[in-house]
Amino acid sequence: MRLTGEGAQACLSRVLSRVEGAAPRFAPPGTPPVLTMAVGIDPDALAPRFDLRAGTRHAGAIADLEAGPSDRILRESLSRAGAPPADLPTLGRLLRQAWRAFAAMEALALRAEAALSEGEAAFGACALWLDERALFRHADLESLGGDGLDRRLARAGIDYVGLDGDVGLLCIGAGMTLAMIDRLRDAGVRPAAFLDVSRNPSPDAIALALEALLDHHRARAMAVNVFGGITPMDRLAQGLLEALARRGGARVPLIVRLEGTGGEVGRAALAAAGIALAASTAEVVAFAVRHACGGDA
Amino acid sequence: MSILVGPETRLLVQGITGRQAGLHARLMRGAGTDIVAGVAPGRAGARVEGLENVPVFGSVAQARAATGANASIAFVPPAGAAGSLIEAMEAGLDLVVAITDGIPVHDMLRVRRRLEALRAGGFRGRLVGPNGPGVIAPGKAKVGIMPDGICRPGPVGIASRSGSLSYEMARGLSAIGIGQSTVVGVGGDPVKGTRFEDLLPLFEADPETKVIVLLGEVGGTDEERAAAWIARHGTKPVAALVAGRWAPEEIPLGHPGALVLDGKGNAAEKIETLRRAGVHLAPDTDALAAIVKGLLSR
Repeated sequence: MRLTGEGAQACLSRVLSRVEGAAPRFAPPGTPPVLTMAVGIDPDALAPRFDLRAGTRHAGAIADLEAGPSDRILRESLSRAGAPPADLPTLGRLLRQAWRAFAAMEALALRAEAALSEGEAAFGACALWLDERALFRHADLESLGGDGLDRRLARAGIDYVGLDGDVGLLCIGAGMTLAMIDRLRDAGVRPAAFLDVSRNPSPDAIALALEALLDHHRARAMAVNVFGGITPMDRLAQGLLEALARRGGARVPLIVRLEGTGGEVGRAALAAAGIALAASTAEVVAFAVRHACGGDA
Repeated sequence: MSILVGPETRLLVQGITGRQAGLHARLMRGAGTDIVAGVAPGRAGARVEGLENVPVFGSVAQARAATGANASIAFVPPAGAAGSLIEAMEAGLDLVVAITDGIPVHDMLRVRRRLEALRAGGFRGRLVGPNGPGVIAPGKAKVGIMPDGICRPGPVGIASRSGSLSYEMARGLSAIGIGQSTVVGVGGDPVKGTRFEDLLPLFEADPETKVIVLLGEVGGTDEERAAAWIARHGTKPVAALVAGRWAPEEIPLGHPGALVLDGKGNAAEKIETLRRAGVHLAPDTDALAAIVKGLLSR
């Protein structure tokens, strides 16, 4: 879940009030930042790290999740990023607050401007990326995300990023979804969204996915391409049929390729319901090319 | 030969009393895996349908002591998964495979830190996953959830960040008569136990593996690190694809596997880095299978 603007500041306030007993300071809008701080996960070390940036100057370090960076590391890094010596203590306290917030809200990443207001460090504009998979422990933060389509999908366990195309694509697994988007775009077809239902292939979740693709994105055709290992394909097929029945059918051309654990039973159920089946990814791509109109190749 | 698993694997199943665990334990046994024990905290002595001769213990340490298990596969719900993975590593197993999808990333940071502390103390085992399909050495053993019938024994070693793409690849190769030595799903999460670079030396040393396939995707630095290893040490041909060439910038942080900081981790850079290391790149699994066929006939 991504939060920016007032939502991000509210989130930071809420979590720091909880762990420190007081809300953090925010600089009045328009206050020029001294530097930008980021806390995230180092993709090489697979450990938490912070980064500071001011113009072309940069400093950062890996630190223990619970203990956070030491005071010495904080001061040295702030100095290297060009912070004025007199402001090191107050900026160090702000950076430590950012680290505590990152740990307490189990964030994937946090980025915040640090400003000086009446001689004290304060947060400026910030952006937060919360871990969808940890939000079950943070109901108070989850509610800050609102009730838009993105959040309804996320709450159903669906990974979703809206795109601007006209072919609805429903896959299992992020890698498969990304690979299908690549193949469709290589063929000149624009998918409506990145949408992965692997964590919850239930009728309710699939119905929500169809609502997103067909009603919100107004997809002109639907392609389902799934190759399941842990997700039983017979269950997915039942979920798809039930979700389609609730809407009175897809009402757009639909093709399904279904492989993997339970695939034979799933395919038989779909065929019995009159749903067109594809035998390969290449066939799904060819179908999408026939029915898309927003192709740009 | 194969890597990570084989006839010597003595597997215990963590969370064996769960529905998915029971189903996949039976499928793994059907694929030739020697399943010696189950673990279900608080339910020692339980019986699992279709696995009546598999004893169930309350802890990994007890299961290991009683049965000589040397590997584990964890089907444990996300909230309790980190503790189960740490328990299995602390019990000293050679291989711990984590199937669970949805483990909070900060929990995995703690698992990773514990893994590194254990390694510093001499632990030689490996954690594979989480959020991946596990490991299969076709015809020998399966410690995972790959669908039946898509693999066959042969000369290609596959390492994949995506479960579904590894199925697609294995099946595509098998369909043109090319089998696999071992297929390893390293998992789709950003913080995991095993990366491509950890598997490359094993495939290099495995006499059965003639060609290595990497199925990468946007986010993180796994592909760049693999390229660095290949450039320095690789002697076997490597073919790869990187999924997410058309992923818009907001996808990386919206999808579990990806952490893009400062523009690192986009597909174009990964592809270029791999190409410079001598890796053969393909746009999709069909084209990749054709490249592998060519590499094998050289």
